[in-house]
Amino acid sequence: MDNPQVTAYLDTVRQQLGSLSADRRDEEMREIRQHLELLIAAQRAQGFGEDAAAATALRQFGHAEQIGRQLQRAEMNARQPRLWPLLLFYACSVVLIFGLLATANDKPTDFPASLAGQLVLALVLPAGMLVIRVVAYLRTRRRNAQG
Amino acid sequence: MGRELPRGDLPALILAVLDDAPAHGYAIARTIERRSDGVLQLREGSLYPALRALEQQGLVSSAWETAGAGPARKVYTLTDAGRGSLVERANDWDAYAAAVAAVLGKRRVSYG
Repeated sequence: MDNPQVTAYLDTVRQQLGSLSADRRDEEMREIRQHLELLIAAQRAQGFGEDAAAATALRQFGHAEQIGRQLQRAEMNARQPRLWPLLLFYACSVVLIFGLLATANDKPTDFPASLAGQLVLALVLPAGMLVIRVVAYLRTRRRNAQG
Repeated sequence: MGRELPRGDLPALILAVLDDAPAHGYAIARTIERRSDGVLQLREGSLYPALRALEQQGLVSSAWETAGAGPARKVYTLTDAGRGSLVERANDWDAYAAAVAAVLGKRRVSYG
């Protein structure tokens, strides 16, 4: 489909899909292109010339930028972040750091009094990362909810 | 008389069309047009964001399929959850339409 109107239209839609992976973007564009081809063929079958058929089909399909934006948003919603991997990562970090600290400072005679400080350290060290990630998570959830 | 279809109503119509048979986007648009006698007009590009949302909710599934000699097309199929959601939406719509009709009916009696 080499019609310049259609090419420009598809380019505009594609530009809105910047956050999608190349594969997803190609798939979306393939589907839209096929739909437009069928619309144009239907117009041609009614006797319209190529340009008139393309113009009518594009009008019927809707505003390119808006559709691209809506598609992008729908795809972003699919990538709704999850909280549990963050918490799991945090828990693993705590265990790892605690294990390292406990091993490095291993003095059997101190057990268990000296472990409390190391446990606090292990909880605090990755907490900053957790807070940042949870704030980002909440922001994304709110943005998606506003859709 | 053509009426632009509000975006919020589109998902229910898509589910209803797919309840009859799996279909690709263009076919869904044509079925809505045909079943509404051309009254409901949609910006057909808006089908795709709506379909993505339905897929994410697990109400619709999709796969690229080749029929005959034509190119592969992405075909959408209603899931069991989609069928349940369709029944729910149809019931909601019936209740809403009945309520509006009841109010309009009184108005017609009052002023008609």
